[in-house]
Amino acid sequence: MAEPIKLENLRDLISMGAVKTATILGQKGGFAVLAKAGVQERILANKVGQVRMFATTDTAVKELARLGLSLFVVDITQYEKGLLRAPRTDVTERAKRAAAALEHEQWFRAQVDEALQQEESGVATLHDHDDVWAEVTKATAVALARKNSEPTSLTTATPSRGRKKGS
Amino acid sequence: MALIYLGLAMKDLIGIAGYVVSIGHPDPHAYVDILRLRLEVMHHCKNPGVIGRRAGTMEWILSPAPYIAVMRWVGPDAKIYRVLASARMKVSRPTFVGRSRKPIRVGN
Repeated sequence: MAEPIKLENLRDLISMGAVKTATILGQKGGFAVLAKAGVQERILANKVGQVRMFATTDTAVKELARLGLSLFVVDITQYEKGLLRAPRTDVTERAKRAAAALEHEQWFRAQVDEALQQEESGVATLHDHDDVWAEVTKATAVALARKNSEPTSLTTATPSRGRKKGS
Repeated sequence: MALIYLGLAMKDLIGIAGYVVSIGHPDPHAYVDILRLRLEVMHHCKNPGVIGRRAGTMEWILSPAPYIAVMRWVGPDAKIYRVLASARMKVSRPTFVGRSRKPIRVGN
């Protein structure tokens, strides 16, 4: 097992020219970075000394490029598809809420645009306050009457899940 | 000094009344009256409203009802363009809080 090396130390070694090449090593669910310093192999570690894993080769390549290393090998012989971290359900929920808010905003603007266009083109009809509310009250009464005239669904006995006694 | 409604605004209000009835509100007439009174008060107070999402329009927040009236002041008259829901009508109940991945247990 290669000895771990922290990011700052690896940067120093690269800047001194001690490390010229690295291997992006495929592992279960991600990729580790193995740097070759002379005859020694050092694996990139995080701040607490654990092997630093990258979810994709892209992120590993970006990190190596940031360190100043432009030559590396990708080894996927031990790579296994999987997730490094558990999926963030809270982030998904937040993103869904943001998307829904955006959708509502677009709908709102479209509704206002429709009214403004109607006014500009001269097809919009104008109504007095009293007339409008007389219509609204009438519509409410009609909707209520319709709802009240609907036959109420009778409650039926739900079939029991369990097996009947004696059957 | 009058409140004038575009046909679409009237359609919106009739739609709101229908929706309130459909969800089984105990008193749809009272709910609709809240909207009417709110509009009348805004108009009576000459409330300028907040700047609208579209240029040249203003918005009256018809709280406590979750609706917004998109309007313009035309001299002493207020012209109502639309009365729209201020937020999504069906808000999904959040099942997670913060960064916790444990679902909240409601009731037993």
